[in-house]
Amino acid sequence: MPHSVLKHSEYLVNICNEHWVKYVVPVLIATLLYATSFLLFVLAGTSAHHYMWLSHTTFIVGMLLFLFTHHWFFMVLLGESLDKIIITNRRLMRVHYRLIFHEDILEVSFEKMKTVEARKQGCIQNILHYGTLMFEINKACVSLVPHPNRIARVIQEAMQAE
Amino acid sequence: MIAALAFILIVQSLSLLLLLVNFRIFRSQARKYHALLSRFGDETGWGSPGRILMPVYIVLTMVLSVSVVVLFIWQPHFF
Repeated sequence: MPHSVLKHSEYLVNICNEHWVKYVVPVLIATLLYATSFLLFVLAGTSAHHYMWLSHTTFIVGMLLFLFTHHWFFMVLLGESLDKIIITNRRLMRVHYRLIFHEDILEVSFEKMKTVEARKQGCIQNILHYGTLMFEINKACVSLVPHPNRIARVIQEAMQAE
Repeated sequence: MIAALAFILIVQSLSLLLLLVNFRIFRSQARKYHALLSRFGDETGWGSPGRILMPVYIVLTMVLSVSVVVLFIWQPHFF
């Protein structure tokens, strides 16, 4: 946990999720793996009458692939759902958790960082309305921020009030 | 046939065990977030992450476990 002692008069200004575009790659990979395991199940079924051991082996490989995909996919989704960008009147926190494997909390104090810049690069970021927040040009970056201009305005107001 | 079925049942049991472990880890991490937010005097803005996803994960894993075993036993009749 960042800051064991909460500063006096610190309050919550905004909480937002990261942009949904982060789910696209895991969904594509999971679809591919689910489809592969489904094909293995079909192959096992069609060979069940004539080649029993081939059928069993194919079925078990398909099942292992299916279970791996299923648990991996939901672990990724649950981990991603815990990612938040928390803005208080004194700091910004980006919280990243991946079940078991990874824990990362980025904290940007408005006492030290006085400027924030919202950046959208490329047509995909502009069409889908997400981008990166950059503090003091490049000292700290928070990526996958939905509507970064709006969030940057909220942060600037908090910085001015600080 | 029996050996393959036994193997499949063991793997499905391990899968359910992994589900239980994931559920407990996720719940403990969600508690940490609640504690973090409550320090800012806000517990309502959290929105309970995983309130839909976790039940879906649990139900889907159980249904799929049963389905895979049934499919293995009856697969010669399906095709």
